[in-house]
Amino acid sequence: MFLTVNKFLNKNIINIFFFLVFMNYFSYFLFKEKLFFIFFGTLIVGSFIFMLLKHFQKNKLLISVLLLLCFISLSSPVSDWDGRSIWLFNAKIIFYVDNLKNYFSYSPYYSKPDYSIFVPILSATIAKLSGVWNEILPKISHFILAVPPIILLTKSFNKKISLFIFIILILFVYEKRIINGEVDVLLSLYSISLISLLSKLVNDKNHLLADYTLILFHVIFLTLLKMEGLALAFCIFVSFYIINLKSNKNLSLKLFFIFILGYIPIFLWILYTKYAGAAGGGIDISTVQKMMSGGQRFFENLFNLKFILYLISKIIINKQMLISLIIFIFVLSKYFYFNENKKELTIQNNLLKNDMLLCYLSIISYTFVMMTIMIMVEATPYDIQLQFWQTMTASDRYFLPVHSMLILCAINLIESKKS
Amino acid sequence: MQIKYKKISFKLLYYLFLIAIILQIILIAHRSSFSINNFFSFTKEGMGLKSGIKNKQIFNIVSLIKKNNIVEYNLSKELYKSKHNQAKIHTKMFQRVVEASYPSKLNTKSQIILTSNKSQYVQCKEIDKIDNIYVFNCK
Repeated sequence: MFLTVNKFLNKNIINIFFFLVFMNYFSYFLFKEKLFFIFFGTLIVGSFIFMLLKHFQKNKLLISVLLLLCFISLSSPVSDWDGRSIWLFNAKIIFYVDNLKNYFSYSPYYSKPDYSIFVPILSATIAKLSGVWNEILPKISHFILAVPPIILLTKSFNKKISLFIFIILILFVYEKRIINGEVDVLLSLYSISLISLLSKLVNDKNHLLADYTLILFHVIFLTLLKMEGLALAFCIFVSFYIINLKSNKNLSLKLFFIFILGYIPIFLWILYTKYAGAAGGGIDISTVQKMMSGGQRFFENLFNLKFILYLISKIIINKQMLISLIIFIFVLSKYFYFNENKKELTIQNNLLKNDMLLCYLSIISYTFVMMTIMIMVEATPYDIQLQFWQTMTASDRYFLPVHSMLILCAINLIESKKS
Repeated sequence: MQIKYKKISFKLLYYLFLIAIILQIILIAHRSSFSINNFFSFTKEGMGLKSGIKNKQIFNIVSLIKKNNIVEYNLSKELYKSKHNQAKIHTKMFQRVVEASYPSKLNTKSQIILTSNKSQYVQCKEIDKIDNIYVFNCK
């Protein structure tokens, strides 16, 4: 009996973890009493520790790095703006107010109360376990959510160099963002994990129910993390269909239903904030609407050459993008070579495999969507009155999923090469 | 001989990589305001508030609100002054005080006022003070 349970846990621990996190979120809409926070909180922390311990035997270096980051997270406060003023503050309100209706009763607009409360609910749950509120413990929820996709991704690495590159992504590209209470790293990790899962599903003939539930949870989590997640999941799925619709009709149909199902929770939340939020009065204009102003500034910004050049420079010339590009180009260079006469350039087939195409298309489509959004958003009347403030402060953060996808491309190339 | 050379170079690279990892983790810890004291008390109420706010004046205001169990408060205008002439709601003062003092709430109609300019409220009753921050009851 014990062996059977152990075997089941070993195989499905990540699915169980995702299920618990989602049920904890869902219960917040159902129950007034927050006793379920203690129940789910204990199980979530338990499954998180089990996950780490189980994986420690297989990958000591990675888990040691993660444990060190966990230690730093539990020894440092939240001081960055997004982490403090949006995610942790919203979690604090959830921690103190008795039910969801009162969540909107005292929220200054800058804390973006209509943003999904998926991560803040988990932060409040962790705080409930200790019984008190402080500025250190609740933010560990972000790190807890980051670990499952990391484990999923690294599970399939066969070469040490892939693991090293992945650690470079965590430590040198994400840096302190993985522990400082922001959700951009979570978006990046779940997006590359989703790409990796979709690729595996295409390559593997035997599909288990667990594979589909993993993909479903990825879509749900991606869309519930932050509004950009909607665009990310959409871009990944559109890229997937462009590549696989003809060759994998059956799988494409199944995934279409999963994709639709995965978007339901975020649409329910959007409807809730619109009609039932703000103590029944609803929130008239959402943060996204406010920021984009119906796209009124799009053409004005698009034809502002100074702004466009500034935007492009901010996206490309930053440490994270440069590290990712250098790694990708370095690995890529091994797949181009001249023949003996140095007259013809040969490209290896690996570069155009389906999983690589999925990465390339996701990068291109998400870059296009994000650039469009950034052109629309700049000079919002709600910004601080500094020129190109949004671009100046957020471009490296908004493009973290692109950096991660570039690194994933490099890892896929390395893994596809026969040793 | 060649095989041995390869082995040595991989080991060397591996150790260099480990050193880079350790240095980067130290840098992340430094940039996150790491303190071992926080680790030993991460389940205590209010931990990390001072180091998270990183501003003594704001910390004093929040401490006064908490110490005097103030449910609703108002901040005096001079506290919102900033370099960039930002609107009140964009200032660090407004945002940090609102977040850190919650569940106490900022209410512009409240008679409990926190100020750094004592002379403005001579007609009100002084309740408490820390450094140059005062709490007045103007009922």
